[in-house]
Amino acid sequence: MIIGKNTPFSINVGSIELAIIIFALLLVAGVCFMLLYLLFVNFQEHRKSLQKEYIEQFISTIVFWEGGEIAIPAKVSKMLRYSYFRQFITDELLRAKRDLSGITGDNLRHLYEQLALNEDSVDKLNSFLWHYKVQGIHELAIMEQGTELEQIHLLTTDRNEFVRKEAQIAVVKLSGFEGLRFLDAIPYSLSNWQQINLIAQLSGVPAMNFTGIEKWLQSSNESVVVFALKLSGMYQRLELRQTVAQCLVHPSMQVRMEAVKCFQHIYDETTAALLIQKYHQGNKQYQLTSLHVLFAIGGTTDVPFLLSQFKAEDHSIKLAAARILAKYHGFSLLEAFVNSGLTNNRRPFCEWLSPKESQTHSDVYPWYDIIQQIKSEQTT
Amino acid sequence: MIILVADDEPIMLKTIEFCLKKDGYTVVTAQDGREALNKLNEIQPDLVITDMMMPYASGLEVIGKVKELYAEKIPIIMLSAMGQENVVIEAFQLGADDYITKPFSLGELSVRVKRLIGNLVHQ
Repeated sequence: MIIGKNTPFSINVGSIELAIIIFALLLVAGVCFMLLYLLFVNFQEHRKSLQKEYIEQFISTIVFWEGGEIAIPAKVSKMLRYSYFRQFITDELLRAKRDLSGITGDNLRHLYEQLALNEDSVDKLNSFLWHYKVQGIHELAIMEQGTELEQIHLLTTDRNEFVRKEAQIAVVKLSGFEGLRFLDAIPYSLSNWQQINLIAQLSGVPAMNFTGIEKWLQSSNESVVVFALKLSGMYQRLELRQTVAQCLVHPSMQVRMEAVKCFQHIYDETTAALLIQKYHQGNKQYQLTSLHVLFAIGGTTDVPFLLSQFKAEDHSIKLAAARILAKYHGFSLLEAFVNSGLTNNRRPFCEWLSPKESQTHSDVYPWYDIIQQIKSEQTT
Repeated sequence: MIILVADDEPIMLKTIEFCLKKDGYTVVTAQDGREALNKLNEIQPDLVITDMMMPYASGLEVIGKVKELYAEKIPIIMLSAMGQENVVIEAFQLGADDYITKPFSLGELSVRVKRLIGNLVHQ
């Protein structure tokens, strides 16, 4: 039947029915496809969870393995043909290895090697994709594959930031301070975060008299100098005092500041005088750092220098100088200074402070607050 | 002796379970903080080993629950990762007795458990 015959909008009822039938069939086919797909996904998930459970059980028994080659169940050997399963078992082993050390950790490493999973990790190092490289380096480092050290070392100067960062962490993890030799020729900057990561890795390594640090202190790479200064301080390399002192006149403010911090750990009787001598070559942050280090190391008998800092506009400088004065010369000197300003009767430090003829409370405004703060710091 | 072990890493949990069963203890496991809190309502353990970072409820909450539920002294060992020193201090303040930093050896765990259980027996 044709509705609206001979009009431009005539519709053939037969074709409508056909269209509806086709649409319904497509709908049913779509729903069936979705159901089948969901069933398939569920089946896969179920299979994976069974495998996961099986592997977890297998690995947790392996950690108690004693002597000789580990017996691998036939089911595991069969599944090892599939790359997804090899990655799956590698991930599980890595997770367990991060938490376990000693014999149990060694057993996990033996299993990783026995299943030749280390070969997969080495293959990843040669991948074109940076994230595979990173994954490979990470796996080899966690599984303590020292035999691959040289290959990983080559990646410490890789142009990809993520690859070289992971490689730098790995070489330090695998060979301790020896791994830091990548600092000899690193063309890239070491970020603060990377320096923290490297120091964290080194914290688990016995501190030996590692070599190279003097060379790094003179590196043309500013970030390497900063990192070397951190190491010099942390490991109290007293013999490097002269080289660190040279860093106090480095063109970079960050290096100069780090050198000041370093002196907190390697100071001697001349350090305070040296820091005071170089005090005016830096910005406010540098000066504050110097004052904090002077507070920590003591030996500051230079009262005129401290009192001269009371004239600074910044209250944090005043406070830092006052802390030193109070710690090493007692509150009496500090309070005498404040009294001299308030009462105008006694002015024992006028020659350093060049006060006005008649001082008012506003002239000495922060001092009562500063004294109270220092007192409360000492009581807490 | 019943030991409650809470850790969200399944392999770790199974490994510790095997290790402690081998030493002759009865082990109850929990895969996250919430399960550990529920288990504490059901059974009274003689010792608790708990990871610090777990889903749903942290190790600190587990320690708090032990102290809330049981007046008598139940020793608690924490498992913490490197760099969680602040959490460890907080846990000690809440009443934890010992802690082990990951990665650790099972031998070390076994000795620490024996020492704490031994102290209980002597009390």
